[in-house]
Amino acid sequence: MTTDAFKISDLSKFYGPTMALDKVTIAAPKRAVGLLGPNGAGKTTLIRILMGIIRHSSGSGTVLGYDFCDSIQAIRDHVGYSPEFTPMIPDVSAMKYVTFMGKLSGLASVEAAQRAHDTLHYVGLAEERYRPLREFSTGMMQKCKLAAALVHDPDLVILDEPTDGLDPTGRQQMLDLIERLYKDEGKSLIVSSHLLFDVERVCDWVMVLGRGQLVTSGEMSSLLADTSGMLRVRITGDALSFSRKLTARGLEVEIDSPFLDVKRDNGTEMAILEEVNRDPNVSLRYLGSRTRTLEDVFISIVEGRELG
Amino acid sequence: MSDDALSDDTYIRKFGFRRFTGVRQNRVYRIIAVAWFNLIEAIRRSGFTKMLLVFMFFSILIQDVLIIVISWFLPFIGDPMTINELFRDAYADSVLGMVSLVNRITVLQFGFMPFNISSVGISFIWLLLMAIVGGGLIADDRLHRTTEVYFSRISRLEYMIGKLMSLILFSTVVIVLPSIIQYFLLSYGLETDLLVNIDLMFWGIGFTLLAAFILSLIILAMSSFTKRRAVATLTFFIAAIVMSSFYSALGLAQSESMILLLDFVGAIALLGAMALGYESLDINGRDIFFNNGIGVEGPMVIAVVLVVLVLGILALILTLFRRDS
Repeated sequence: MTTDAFKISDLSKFYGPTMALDKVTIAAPKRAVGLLGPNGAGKTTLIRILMGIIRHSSGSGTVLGYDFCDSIQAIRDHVGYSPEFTPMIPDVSAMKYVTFMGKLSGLASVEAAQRAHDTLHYVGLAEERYRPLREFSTGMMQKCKLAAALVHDPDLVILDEPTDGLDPTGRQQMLDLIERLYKDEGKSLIVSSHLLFDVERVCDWVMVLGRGQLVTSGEMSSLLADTSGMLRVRITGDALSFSRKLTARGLEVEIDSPFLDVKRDNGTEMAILEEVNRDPNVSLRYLGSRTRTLEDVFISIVEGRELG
Repeated sequence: MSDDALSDDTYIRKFGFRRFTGVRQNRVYRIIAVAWFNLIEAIRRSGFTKMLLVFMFFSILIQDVLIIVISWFLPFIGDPMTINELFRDAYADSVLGMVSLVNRITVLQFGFMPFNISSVGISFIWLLLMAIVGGGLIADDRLHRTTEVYFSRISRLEYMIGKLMSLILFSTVVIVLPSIIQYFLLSYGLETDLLVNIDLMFWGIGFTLLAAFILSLIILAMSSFTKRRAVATLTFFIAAIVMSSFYSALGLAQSESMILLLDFVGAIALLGAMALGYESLDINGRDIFFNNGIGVEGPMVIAVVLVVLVLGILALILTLFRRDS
C-alpha cells in the first residue's frame, strides 16, 4: 500500500497561454498536508487536476497510488473533496444533498441516507439537516460541504479554503473538526489555505506553491525550526538595561519586544541566568530557542523569492 | 473498532463518523441517481410544472373518453375503411399529434372528427414542460457551480447521460405513458383486438421515446450554453414555435415547400409516420407525398432529424467536455 497521498512528476498545466503549474514534482505523505501559496499560485488548479476535474497539460502522477490518467474513478471514490466556493442546490435540504453526494460516490440508497445522518451529526449540523441549503449561513455551508466530502468515507480528504468566510468561533469549530478527522479518524488531509495560522494548527507537513512552481515542502516542524541559532529570552523588568548588560558580557543581542534574542554560543544560557540572578529587579519568564511562525516562513520564502 | 471502544464513545462519536465497509455500486447506479434526483427536484420545486402536469393528464383523459363516447353514438360505417384500419389511423394520428406543434400533421384521410381532436394541445404542453424542466438542468448547476461537485465524483459523460435520462424519464411520464394508455383506451372504445395491433403500440413507444430523446438533447444543449435557466427555457420554447410557424406564416401551407423542414419538431413526427409505412400525410389540410420527387421527400426528413440530433450532441459535447470550463 502506498505511503503517499499523492505523487506528481513534472506536472504542468496551461490555461491557453497562461501557465498555472510549471513542472511540479512532489510526493506528499498520507498525513495532514498543508497546501500553501499566494493567490494564483496554482493550489486550486493542482487540486482540480488531482480530482480529475480538469486535465493536466503534461506530466504524470498518482493519488493514493492510483494513476490519475487511468484510474480517475477509483481516485474519486477514495477521495473526498470540499471545494473553495459553495456549490449549492438551493431548494434541497442538507440531508438530501449529502445523501445524493453519497449516491454519486456509489453508496446504496439506504447506506447513503444513514451515512448522511451520521456525517451531518459529526460536523454539527444534526438539528439543521432538514433545512434547505439556501437558508444556511457560510459556516453551516462549510460544515455541510465537509459532510458531503466525508459521506463516502474517503481515505483522503481535500479541503480547499475550509475556513474561508467563517467568523472566529466558526473557524475554531472547523479547525477542531479537521483536527479530529486527522487525529481521531485517521484520515489523510490536504488543506489548501491562505490562512497560515489554520494550516499551522492542523497540518504537520507543508508544500508551498508560488507562481505555479513548488517553492518548498517538508515537515512543518523542520520548516518552523529556527536556523539562526538565537535564544529567545523574556524577562520582567527593564529589558533595555538587561540587554545592555548582556552586550557588556560580549553577547550579541537583538530586541524583539517583548523578547530579547541572544546569539547562542557556548555558555550563553549560563551568562543569561547569571545576569538574571544578579539583578533583583529582573525575573526570567522564558528562555528557549527562537521559533518561527508559518507566516515568517511563508513571507521569507514566497515573498523573498518573488522579490528576488 | 471493538464493541468496548464503542461503548465508551461520546455522543458525537456514537452518532458520528464510522467506516464504510459495504460495496460501492456500479457506474450505472450513479447515472440513475443523477437522473432520478434531477427529475424529482425539477418537478418538486416548480408549482407551475405540477399544475401543467395535472392539466395535461386530465386533457389526455378527457380527449380519450370523449372519443370513446362519441364513437358509441356515431355508429361506424365500414366503407371504405375497416374498423381496424380506423383504429390504426386514429392511434397513429393521436400519437403524431403529441409531437407536432403549429403544423397539424395527420394520417386520417377522411377527417373523422372525433379522432382528429385527440392530442390537440398536448404537444404544446409537453414542449413547455420539457423547456421548464430541462432549461435549468445544466444552467442551474453552472450558476450554483454544482458541476464541480458532480465532476469530482462522476465523469462528464455520466453526468450528461444522467441529465439526459432525467428528461427522457420525464417525457416517459408525459408522452410515452399516455401513448400506451391511449392505445388501450382507443382499442377499448373501438372494440378492436389488442394483440392484432400490438406493433402499433411498440411503434408509439419507440416514436415518442425518439422524440423525447431528440428534444431532450436540444434543451440540454441550450441549458449548457447559459447560466440562466429562463434564457434556456424561453430560447428553446420560442425557437421551436417560431421554426414550426414558418411554414404557415410564409403562406406556404398549401404547398410542398421545403420550408416545412424548418419545423424540426414536426420533422420528427414526419419521420414517425414514415416509420409506420405512410407514404403520404395530411399537413394543414394538404396531402404531402414522401416519394413524388416534389418538395419534401423521405430522405430529407431523415436528414433533418439526423442533423438536429448531431447538432444537439455536438453542442452538448462542446460545452460539457470543455474540461477547463
